[in-house]
Amino acid sequence: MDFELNEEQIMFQDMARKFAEREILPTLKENVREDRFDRDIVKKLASQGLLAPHLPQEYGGLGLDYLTSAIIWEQLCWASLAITQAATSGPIQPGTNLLDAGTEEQKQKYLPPVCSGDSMLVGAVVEPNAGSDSSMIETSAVRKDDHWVINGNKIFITNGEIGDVILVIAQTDKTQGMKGLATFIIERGMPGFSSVPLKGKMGWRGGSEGNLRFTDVEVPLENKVGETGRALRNALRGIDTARLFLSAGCIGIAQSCLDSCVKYAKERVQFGKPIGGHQLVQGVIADMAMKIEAARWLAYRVADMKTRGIRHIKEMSCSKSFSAEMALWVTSQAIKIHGAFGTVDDYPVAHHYQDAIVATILGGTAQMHQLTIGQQLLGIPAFS
Amino acid sequence: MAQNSTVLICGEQEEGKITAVTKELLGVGKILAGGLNGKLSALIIGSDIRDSGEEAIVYGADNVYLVEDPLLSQYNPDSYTTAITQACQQIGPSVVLLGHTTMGRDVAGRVAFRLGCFPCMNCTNLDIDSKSLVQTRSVYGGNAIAVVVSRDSQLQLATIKPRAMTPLEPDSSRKGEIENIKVKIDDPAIRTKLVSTTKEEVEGIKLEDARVIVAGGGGIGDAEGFQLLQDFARILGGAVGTTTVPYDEGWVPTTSMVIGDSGKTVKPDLYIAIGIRGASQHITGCSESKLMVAINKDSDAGIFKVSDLGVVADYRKVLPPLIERCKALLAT
Amino acid sequence: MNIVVCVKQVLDPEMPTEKFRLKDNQVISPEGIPLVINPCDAQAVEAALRVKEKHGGKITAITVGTDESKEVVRRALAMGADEGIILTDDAFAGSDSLATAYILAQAIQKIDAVDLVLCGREAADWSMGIVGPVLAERLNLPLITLAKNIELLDNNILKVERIIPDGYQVFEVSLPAVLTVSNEIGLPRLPTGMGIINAVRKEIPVWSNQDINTDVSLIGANAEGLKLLSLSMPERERKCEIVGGETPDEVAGNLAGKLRVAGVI
Ligand SMILES: Cc1cc2nc3c(=O)[nH]c(=O)nc-3n(C[C@H](O)[C@H](O)[C@H](O)COP(=O)(O)OP(=O)(O)OC[C@H]3O[C@@H](n4cnc5c(N)ncnc54)[C@H](O)[C@@H]3O)c2cc1C
Ligand SMILES: Cc1cc2nc3c(=O)[nH]c(=O)nc-3n(C[C@H](O)[C@H](O)[C@H](O)COP(=O)(O)OP(=O)(O)OC[C@H]3O[C@@H](n4cnc5c(N)ncnc54)[C@H](O)[C@@H]3O)c2cc1C
Ligand SMILES: Cc1cc2nc3c(=O)[nH]c(=O)nc-3n(C[C@H](O)[C@H](O)[C@H](O)COP(=O)(O)OP(=O)(O)OC[C@H]3O[C@@H](n4cnc5c(N)ncnc54)[C@H](O)[C@@H]3O)c2cc1C
Repeated sequence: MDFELNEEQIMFQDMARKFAEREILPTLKENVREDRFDRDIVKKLASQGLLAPHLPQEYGGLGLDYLTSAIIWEQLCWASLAITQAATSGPIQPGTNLLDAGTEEQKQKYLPPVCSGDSMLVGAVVEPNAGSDSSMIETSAVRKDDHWVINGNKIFITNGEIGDVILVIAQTDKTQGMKGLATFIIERGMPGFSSVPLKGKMGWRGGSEGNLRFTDVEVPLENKVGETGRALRNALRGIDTARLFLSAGCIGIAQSCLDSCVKYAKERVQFGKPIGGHQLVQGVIADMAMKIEAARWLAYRVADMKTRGIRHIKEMSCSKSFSAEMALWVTSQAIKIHGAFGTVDDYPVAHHYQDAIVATILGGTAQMHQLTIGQQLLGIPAFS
Repeated sequence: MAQNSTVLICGEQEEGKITAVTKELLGVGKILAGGLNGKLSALIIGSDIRDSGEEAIVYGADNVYLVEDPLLSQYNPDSYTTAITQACQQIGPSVVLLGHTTMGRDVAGRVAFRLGCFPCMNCTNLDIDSKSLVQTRSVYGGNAIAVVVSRDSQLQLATIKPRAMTPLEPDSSRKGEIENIKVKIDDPAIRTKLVSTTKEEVEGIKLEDARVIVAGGGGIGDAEGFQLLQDFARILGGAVGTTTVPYDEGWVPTTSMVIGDSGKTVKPDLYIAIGIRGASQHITGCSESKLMVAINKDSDAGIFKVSDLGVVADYRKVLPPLIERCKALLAT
Repeated sequence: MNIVVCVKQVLDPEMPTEKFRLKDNQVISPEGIPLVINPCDAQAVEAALRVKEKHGGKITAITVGTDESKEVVRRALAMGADEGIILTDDAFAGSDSLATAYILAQAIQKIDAVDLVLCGREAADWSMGIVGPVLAERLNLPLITLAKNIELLDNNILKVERIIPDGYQVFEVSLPAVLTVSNEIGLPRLPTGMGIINAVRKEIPVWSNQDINTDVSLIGANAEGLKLLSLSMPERERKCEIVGGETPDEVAGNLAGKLRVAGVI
């Protein structure tokens, strides 16, 4: 067992952190206040080689292992989880989905521009009546002679308002349930496709989401990705990658909060000494460090299992859920340590807290992961 | 090269007047010459430099060598390296000193190499111990002080840090010979061409001369912040200094305000460090200020360890009232 | 353009002052703080990359050091340098600036048709700033120090802006030449992902004295030009009185009062 990062991982860690400091932090406050996603960051990440580290080089990625990729995400999220997720989500879930199930033509056409930041790819699964339960997907795909016709709505979709290419999971035959689901590529500009931005978010500000509407959108036959009935299965590896990165990202935001607390607890003087000198404050800071450390090594372990191709369903659920709940706790404690100052955006803790609560929902809620872990342990599915 | 006990300083002049560092070279050179029982000679290079030769004597030189050549009217690394090397060969000193200046940093290493000795750069103190030159300098970005001595005591060459040494009081009764010496500079040896010189003068009092310095660092945060510092400096009759960070961030237009290892050394009566962490590379340039004051929001910042008075606060909150309070005090 | 950049590995100059420790006239490498590329040398690599971007060419990063120094060469490769060379030999250990310049010169002479040699302004540890100048002497090439901007003109002429205390000078020099690069050149770029991947996988040749044939009497600890008498930490500490107050205005009033009492305003 080797717990040391290798030279390459250290260099990526260092570079990603410096990138976050140079390119994300300076405009963060405004972007969060105005809940504005600045698309330039996608291009910058691409030219730095940080947009799609886990995708193969032949499609414009770096072909890195999952541990190194997760370390990159951890460092980027140290500045902002919402912005990192919005900027890189294309290559993660939908990108991996396309890689796993797409034809060579589809991959050649869509993946390189996504990896270069020229095109933004979106994965649309969730609908008003289908959240955790994808079998309820109602968006329909009906086969006509030489095309498919898509009708329906998708909500809470990352980059739904600005994305260029959308991977949509739709139902081809209601009577078939999961077996009827298929994946289609829809390009912005196709008649009948429209989107609206998601507004009024309490967190994840600076990220980018939208709701999609498909009204008789005609999709050519060659835009179907993979076989009917395998849509969710084909999406699984991408979802798994997204969970890993979210887990790493939660560690990044928690670390940022800890860093800020350590600094602040030495600066802020109350009752005649820096607040870090009060034992109750030290206790909280120590607990933060404990939890972060535990989450980090769990996530690194899962990343390594994923790279090695070892089955890790249970471990991934443990990691995603533990990291997110850990981040929620750490970020909320961090606000308390900063007192009233923690509630305004002069310190990083408030926006990390707002992101942490959201991070407990996307990538699978805590309950979904509990059920997954339970099923793995007991062999009894308890989802419904 | 015949060796005698001469200490030779390579002076610099601007428009016929010797520069401040030249006076400092003469000051320390005098002490070293005493230690060696030798004499203190000054070398001045350029054209129209006779007056500066006389001034060098007033500031302590026992004699002066002038190298006058039209090719030397303007500083050029190649011609000056050649001229200084040849002059040293003719004069045969045992110690050669230069200022750690635009010229000194440029030529000292090359002159030393040509003369076959080891140069010691940017010394803050020099001494003689049984014929050897004992050189003190700051290393590791001001974190440590090294004292070194040349192994081979035949010829020793050093540059001195500007403002680190004390000039002698000028004394116009001092007498000394001024002698012209000839050097041979081939045109082909001049391989670099000076095209232009641009001065980025900062308006107001020069940093080096200021009795009060208001210095800002990475904590200032933007160019507007420096406007506030300018206002404060103006009210106190002082100048604004910086660390390297504000230049790197583009909040100030020039590096000529940088204080520290790679910038200027200052010794004002009052130094107010605002939003400065206290890196050794910075402190080494201001640690001899009479009164050091720090304003930093981090009570743990190293700057407080080297300050006499400290305020732990966001400067944006305390500086405006501080300016008002000082204004009020100065009006009384 | 065939550019050689000399890079040195140093103790991180940005590490907190309190981590700096001495023992028996030697610096103790603090635990957990990795050695880094000398900051000005990273800037020299940046300068080389800017020239290469405009005019093409090849950049070779070269260091005199130990096996550990490959990290600084890797750093240069990750930023975009094409080749690296590590010069290491027991005979090189303890070399001073003159000897280091000699070793570098012997190595550079083995590289074909070098147009430009870049050094940092000074190494952040001993800060002599003479390796570059002496290297120029050894290679018999023209030298411009303290460059803050460089631009290649026609006819192989390099235009160099050189920092002076209150501004800058513009020099022209025809290539080949040696430059030392100052920090004013600007932030060095971050290595790219592909850069890191290539750098980590690249075999970096290691040259020993056999490869470059230096006269061993001129290098190493025995040839040192200076003898260290002592290394100590400067006494700079002052007793700091923290000025307090209930409101910023009160703090300001208290401080102003103290400045008045001290007679400085
Ligand atoms: C910022 C953000 C970005 C997103 N981006 C995308 C995207 O790009 N593409 C996309 O398709 N979707 C996206 N989503 C949607 C996301 O995948 C869903 O929000 C998530 O899957 C949960 O679904 P839901 O919100 O409908 O919650 P629901 O499924 O309605 O769950 C509500 C609550 O009920 C609980 N619950 C549900 N079922 C059970 C059960 N069986 N047992 C116990 N408890 C249960 C849940 O744990 C939860 O607490 C995004 C969401 C957010 C917030
Ligand atoms: C070879 C070499 C040579 C160098 N030469 C020099 C040199 O000559 N001069 C020089 O200065 N540096 C030099 N440096 C750089 C030096 O190492 C430090 O990086 C630099 O001095 C740090 O500057 P700083 O303290 O202003 O910035 P930072 O490190 O950014 O520190 C900012 C400080 O401001 C405080 N702060 C932040 N916001 C506020 C606020 N609102 N109110 C109050 N306080 C606040 C912070 O707590 C922190 O302490 C050199 C480095 C090298 C490698
Ligand atoms: C008495 C004495 C004792 C010393 N003790 C120690 C010690 O214990 N430990 C220690 O580490 N050093 C020690 N040194 C320093 C060491 O000898 C020098 O660091 C080294 O020779 C380089 O010189 P410099 O630092 O003066 O480089 P500078 O002349 O300041 O360097 C300028 C530029 O030259 C290039 N350069 C310099 N060195 C190298 C290199 N090795 N490889 C490639 N390029 C290079 C770089 O581009 C650099 O920016 C000591 C020096 C002296 C005089």
